[in-house]
Amino acid sequence: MKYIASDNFTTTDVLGEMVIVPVGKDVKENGNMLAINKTGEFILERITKGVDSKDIIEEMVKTFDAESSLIEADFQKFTSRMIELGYLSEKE
Amino acid sequence: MKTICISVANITIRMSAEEPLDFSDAGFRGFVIASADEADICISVSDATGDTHSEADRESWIVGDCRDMEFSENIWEIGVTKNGENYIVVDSYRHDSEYSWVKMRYKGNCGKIQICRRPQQSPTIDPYIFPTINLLISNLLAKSNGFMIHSSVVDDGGKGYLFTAVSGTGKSTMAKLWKEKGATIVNDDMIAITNGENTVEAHNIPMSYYNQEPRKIALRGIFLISQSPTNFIRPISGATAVLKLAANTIYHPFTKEDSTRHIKSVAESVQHVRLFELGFKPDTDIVDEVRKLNL
Repeated sequence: MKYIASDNFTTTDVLGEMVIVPVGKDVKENGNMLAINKTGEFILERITKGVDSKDIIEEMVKTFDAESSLIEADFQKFTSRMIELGYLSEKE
Repeated sequence: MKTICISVANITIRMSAEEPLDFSDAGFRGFVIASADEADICISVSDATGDTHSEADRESWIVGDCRDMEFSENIWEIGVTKNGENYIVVDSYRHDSEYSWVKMRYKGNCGKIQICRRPQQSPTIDPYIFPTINLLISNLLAKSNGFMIHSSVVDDGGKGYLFTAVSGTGKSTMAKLWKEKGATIVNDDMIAITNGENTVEAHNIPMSYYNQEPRKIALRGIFLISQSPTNFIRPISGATAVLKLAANTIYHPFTKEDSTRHIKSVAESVQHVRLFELGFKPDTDIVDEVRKLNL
């Protein structure tokens, strides 16, 4: 499965951390800003390049040297939150 | 040609019209200055008629509303047109208001406001129609490394403290507690922030039915407040702190550059002024506890 990144947010460095801030007419709540960690940054970078989720997870397992189940859980948590905020959508 | 100039949070606005201009809202009069030869923005004000004021050439926009049942009820829209003009439209849906709609367009340091007044209003034009100028100030601040934030600010013997929270959490209560202990309230609802080289200043802005003079104070502490059974003050920092503060700011991010610029402005304030989470019960003990921080 692939995810599509919406154009209603942008990322920028704030005090050394990557943050997501909303953009455009659909902005209702400033609370939709969030700071993301290195894992989130890693995932988002690949999603925006159109990489398939299976390939992202495989690359994460190798890069972070962690168990596949933990990586999958992290991936799921991050993408679910991003979907909830309207920043990602699923592409079948 | 009649002219009136105001200065708000270091932004100077010069308004001109064929007819006499005056502010029916006392909240604005304190911000009038004698003249502004080099205003940040010059706006021509004129009457308009008709029912329609749609912006057919709009490119990106944000819609909001003000539902202060006592003073005003309106829908506003702020946006940019395809040729890069900024625009603000305010529609009143109260039949006893002095106008039915207001439209402002501006680009660079020039702009115009058209006001569709209801019949039999006063012979003067009031160029301040809430929230038109507030939206303009918010937009101009955003372009000059500042922002507006829901907050109260007090001046405690030259030290400025800002208390921010969502509505109903205690911003005004906090300001009153400080007043009881001898501080001056800069404003208890909405504040404009300007980032200087090494300082962050908080300014009051014109508000409906606030009879006030312009005030500003350099900030020494920023507090994200909440009600609590016991008082506590905890320092916070980093990106999460910036985002918590930004959540109470007012901004209209039409583009990625707007959003980035805004969050960088908030981060700059946090780099110069310490940020705390503060829980308080409504008595003046909290004032003493903040003073003990010796910021």
